[in-house]
Amino acid sequence: MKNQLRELRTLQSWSQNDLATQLGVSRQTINAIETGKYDPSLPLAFKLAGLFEKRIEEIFTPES
Amino acid sequence: MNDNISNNEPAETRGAHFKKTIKTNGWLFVTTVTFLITLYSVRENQGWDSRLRVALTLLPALPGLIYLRTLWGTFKEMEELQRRIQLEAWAFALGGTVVVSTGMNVLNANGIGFEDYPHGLEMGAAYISVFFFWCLGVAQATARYQ
Repeated sequence: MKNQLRELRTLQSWSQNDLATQLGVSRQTINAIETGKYDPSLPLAFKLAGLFEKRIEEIFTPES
Repeated sequence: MNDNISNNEPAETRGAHFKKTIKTNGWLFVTTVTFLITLYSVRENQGWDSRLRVALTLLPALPGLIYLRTLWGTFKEMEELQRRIQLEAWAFALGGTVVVSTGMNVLNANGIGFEDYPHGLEMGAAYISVFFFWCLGVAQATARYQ
C-alpha cells in the first residue's frame, strides 16, 4: 500500500513524534507506515484521514 | 514481555507503565514461587493425602491464570504496531518450539537420540525454547518495522 503520509505530515511541519502523539501511537508506527512497511488498522486510517481532513483513499492507494 | 512503551511518552505515563509491568510480572513471580513451594512440598511429603497432593500440585494454576489475564489485558492495551510485533514474536516462538520438539522426537524415533531428552522437550526446556524464540521474534519483527 502506497501512502501520502510523509508529504501530508511535512506540509503541516509536524515531526513523526508530533503526529504519533496526536494519534496515540508510537513514532515507530508512523515511521513504519511512511516507509510502507506497515499498513495501519482501519481505525487508525480513519484517525489519520480525520486529522488531515482527507478521505482514506486520498492518503492510501493500492500498489498496483 | 510487555515493553510497549514509546520514546515520546511523558514521564507520568512511563510511571504508570512501570507499575503495570511490575503488577503483571509480579503474578508471574507469584506463580513461579507457588510452583516451586508446592513442587517441593508434594515431593517431600509422599505420605500426605492424595487429594491434598493433587490440590497442591494444581495450586500454581490459580496465579498462573491471573497472570495470563493481566498479560492479555496488557496485550489489548498495546498500540497497534507493538501488538503486531508481539503477535509475530509469539507465533515465531510457538512455531520454533514445535519445530525443535518435533525434530528431536523424529531424531529419537530414528535412533539418533538426545540422551538428556529421550521424550523430546520437557516442560522446563520447552519454556526456555519459547522464551529464546520469542526474543528472536521480537528482535526480528522490531528490525523489520524500524
